[in-house]
Amino acid sequence: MSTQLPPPTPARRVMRLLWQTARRRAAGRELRQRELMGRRRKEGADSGLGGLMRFFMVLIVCFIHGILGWNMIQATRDAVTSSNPEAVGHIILSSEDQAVLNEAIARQTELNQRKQALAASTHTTMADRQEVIEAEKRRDYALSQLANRSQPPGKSNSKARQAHRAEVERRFRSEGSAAFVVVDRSLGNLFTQSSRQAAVPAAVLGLFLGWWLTMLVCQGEGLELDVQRRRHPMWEWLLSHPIRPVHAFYTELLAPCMANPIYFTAPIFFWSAFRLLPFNGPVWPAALLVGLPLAVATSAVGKSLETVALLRLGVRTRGAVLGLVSWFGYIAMILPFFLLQFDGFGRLLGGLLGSVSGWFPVWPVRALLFGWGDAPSLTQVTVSWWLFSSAMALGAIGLTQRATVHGLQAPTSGTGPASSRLLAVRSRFGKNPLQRKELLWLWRDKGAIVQVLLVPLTIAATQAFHFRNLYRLADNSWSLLSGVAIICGTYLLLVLGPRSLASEGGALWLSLTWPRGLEDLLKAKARLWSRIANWVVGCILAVSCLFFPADWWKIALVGAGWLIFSRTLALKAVALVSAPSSSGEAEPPNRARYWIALIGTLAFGTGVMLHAWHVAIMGIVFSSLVAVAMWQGLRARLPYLFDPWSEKSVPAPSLLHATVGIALMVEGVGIAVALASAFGNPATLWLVRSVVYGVVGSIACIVMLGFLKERNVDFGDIVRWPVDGVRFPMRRGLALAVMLGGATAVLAIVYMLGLRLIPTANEALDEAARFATQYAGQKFWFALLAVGMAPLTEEYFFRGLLYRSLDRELGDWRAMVLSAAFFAIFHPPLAWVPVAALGVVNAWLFKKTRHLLPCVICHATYNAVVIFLPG
Amino acid sequence: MFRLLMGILKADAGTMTIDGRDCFEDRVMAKRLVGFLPDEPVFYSYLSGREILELSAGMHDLDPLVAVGRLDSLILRLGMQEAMAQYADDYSRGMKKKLGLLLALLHQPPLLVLDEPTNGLDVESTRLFFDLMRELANAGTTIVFSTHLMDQVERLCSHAAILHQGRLLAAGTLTEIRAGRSLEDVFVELTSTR
Repeated sequence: MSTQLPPPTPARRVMRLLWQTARRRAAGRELRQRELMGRRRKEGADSGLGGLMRFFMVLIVCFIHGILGWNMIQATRDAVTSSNPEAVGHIILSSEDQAVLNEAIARQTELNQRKQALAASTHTTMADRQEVIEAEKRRDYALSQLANRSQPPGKSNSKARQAHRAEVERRFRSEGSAAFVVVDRSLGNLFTQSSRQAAVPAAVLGLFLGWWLTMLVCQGEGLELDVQRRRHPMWEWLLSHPIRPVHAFYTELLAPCMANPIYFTAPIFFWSAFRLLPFNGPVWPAALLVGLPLAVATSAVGKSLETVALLRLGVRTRGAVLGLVSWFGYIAMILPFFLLQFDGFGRLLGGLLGSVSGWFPVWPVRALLFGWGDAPSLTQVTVSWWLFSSAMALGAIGLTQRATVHGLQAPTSGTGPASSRLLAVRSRFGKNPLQRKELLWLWRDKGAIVQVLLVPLTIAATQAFHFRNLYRLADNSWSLLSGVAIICGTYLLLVLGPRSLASEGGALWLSLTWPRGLEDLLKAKARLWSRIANWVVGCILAVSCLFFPADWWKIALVGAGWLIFSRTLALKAVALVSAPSSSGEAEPPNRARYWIALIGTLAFGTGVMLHAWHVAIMGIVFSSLVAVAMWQGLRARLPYLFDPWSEKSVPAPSLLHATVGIALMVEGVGIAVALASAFGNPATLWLVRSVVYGVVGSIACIVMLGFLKERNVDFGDIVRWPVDGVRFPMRRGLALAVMLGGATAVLAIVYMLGLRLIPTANEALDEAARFATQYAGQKFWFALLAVGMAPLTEEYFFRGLLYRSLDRELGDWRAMVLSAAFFAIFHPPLAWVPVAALGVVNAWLFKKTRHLLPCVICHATYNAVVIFLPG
Repeated sequence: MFRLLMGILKADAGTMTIDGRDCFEDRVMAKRLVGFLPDEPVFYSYLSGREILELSAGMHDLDPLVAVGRLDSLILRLGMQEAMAQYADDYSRGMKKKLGLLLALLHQPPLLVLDEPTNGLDVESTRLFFDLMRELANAGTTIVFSTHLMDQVERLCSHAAILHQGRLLAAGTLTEIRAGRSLEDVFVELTSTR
């Protein structure tokens, strides 16, 4: 007789324990990250940047929900209007604007009467004529209101507005009120009328609701997920307890809800939509009561789908399915940004859905957005959504239960890889084993193909749509196609890199048994990825040559630039490598490093596209420098890849500090100048720009000083560069600085004179000279900035931080040349050569004198001579 | 300790050398001398066992067909001939260990470092591992392995070292360490007094 055993641990207890553990795990992980960071930096303070990022993430998802909700109603209204047969050939007004039309009619009538009275009068006075003028003004005002209210939706520039106003006036005068048709856009009445009339709006609303719900379901815990979703090693331990496995999976159903802010901000979608519908009273309570349960339900559905994939699909297929789901979640999330810029989207939808709307059931949409009574009711709407959410949640629970009923071992194929004629060679790993391995991964890991193809294409298409107005400037020339090629290649590398690194997973140990250093292996990976991207970009550039044969040499130059750029991108991507955690979890790439790798990646492609060659070159140089900086950090990190607690950061200031500091300074100046240009007076813009540059540059210096001070690097440590206690006499250093600054400036002037022999350069120089003296005092302020302010900030960043850290990394003339090139690209293109020369001179001077002051003097002397000597 | 030997970790103090080569500073060249089997080997989910062997052979700069061909008899002996064509990720724990051992022997290293090599193996496979280690040792290969099973040490080893909480408590030939007692008694005594 078998022993009587206690029943399995109750579901509530299991779920409560696991939720508590999940919270403790998340808190523990965050604490360990902070401790690890503090140990590396020898201080424990949290930078607070993580909190700031989370705040911005919450803002973004709030915006997405709000836009989708608003668009849903507006698009439906437009669809209703456009599908109304009475609207054809008329100017459309919504029912709320009937009073505006009546007012315009009344003012026109009044004007007509006054004119008639004036014409009929035999003795008119000034007052009579004035009354007619006033009546005409009142009529014109009413017409302008009518034009505003009847303005078609979507963005309109002033030209379109003027054209519409003229049309309204013309038709009002010739046809009167017959030119207008008043359409009920409130939607509420539609659902008490015939179902035929409600079909189109119901279909449009249903489409939007379905899209939004699918977006929520596909979000999961975040879009950068481990699509392999290897079972966490702790699962087997967990399920060795006397608990029903399905109860453990139930707790996972809420994981996305707790991790991803897009769920708890879901009420904003309903608030945004409900306030545009004809409800009485405040809508926010209903939005909360509807949105939060629905967020839980969609989280559960998404997680249940993931569980099904985990437990019922093989390893190589699972990734593809989950990759597709996350890709769709991304597409759905960026839709609002498209809708914002797509005029007439509602009309288009109404037209497309008109023919099929007859099959669309009206009652579900009616119940979910208006209620089932004769008048819209928030209470009924809330109850409808509760029922819907409950059904979704029950479905998720049922799906999860079915997935676990066959045990927890995902089906294995039981067979090996299918032999492929395409891939079969006699000695498959002979020549280039690493390349062979990566190609097999791309071929066999279906998730890889999904992510590597779909995601870059989607991002590139999104980018193309956002910047389509800029791309019009490319005028359909060869540069447009070439720029598209570069951007596609860029995104391909940015996705391929981290994905390929993730494919190593726990098998990274195998690489460490080979007689090739990990650094060497990572560089080999980078070479391979850039070759793959080169093929893709090369094909598109070849097509560009076919279309534009006369410009083949320009396309070839772009191709040469791409070869350098792609290598730097690949090196940056591979520098994101991380070892799996000791418990076997895949570690995502470090967030900060990933964002640093992204800085300036689009500059090259965009510059090519817009014929902005200095921007393109800036992109290449910037990417090269960031790659060197990231590799400096990687080399310091590699010995501690499996022992992060012993890791020591690169001593500050590192190359990465310098590069990011410069990038932030330049970005800060750019943003501040753009704001000043948008709101400032053109006559004082030159002054504002000068002041902004000075102020932002100073702030950047102060911030950098504080940042480095936290890492025990003082201002003096940057300014002085002692070597074995040897000191260069300061007086001699300053004298040398003045001499070199003057000489370099003279050479620069000679160079500029030589440039004047080129007509286009001569024109550009004349234009610059005219601009520099356009306003009184402009030269003075420019000189003050160039001689008094810029040398201090620029020498601090470019020599004190950048050159010094490059010298630590490269050690010879390469450090001088690269730092000088980086310095030059932030100046006007015509000045690149002399500015680069100044950069090399100052780098040499810094190394020679071991002090930054001579560099500042040299720079100031150069600027003073260049500004004042020619004129 | 094995991770330090393989150059995966960097020592805070002291040095480790293999044939006069520092384990960390010369770790790339040292890999030519060492074959390593970790405790829980993990493999690529998209490669078969044979492909992983061929990849590793290529990365050791060997002709994959020749190097893997040398292991054919061992593959047969380990009963892995059919499994070689299957995805390594689908292997059982024992089969992964066997594949790990094949990888460690692929480049015929003079030193084998095996971390708990028989952990998770069945009786037959464990015996096979013992036979293999004896054969390799007799052929001149130096084998360093970790275990918590004293009888394995007594059956296989000529020398032993007892490590406890990061400290070396005893090292030498088995005769020296035992000093007339069983190894288990010595181990328990040494580790319980710390």
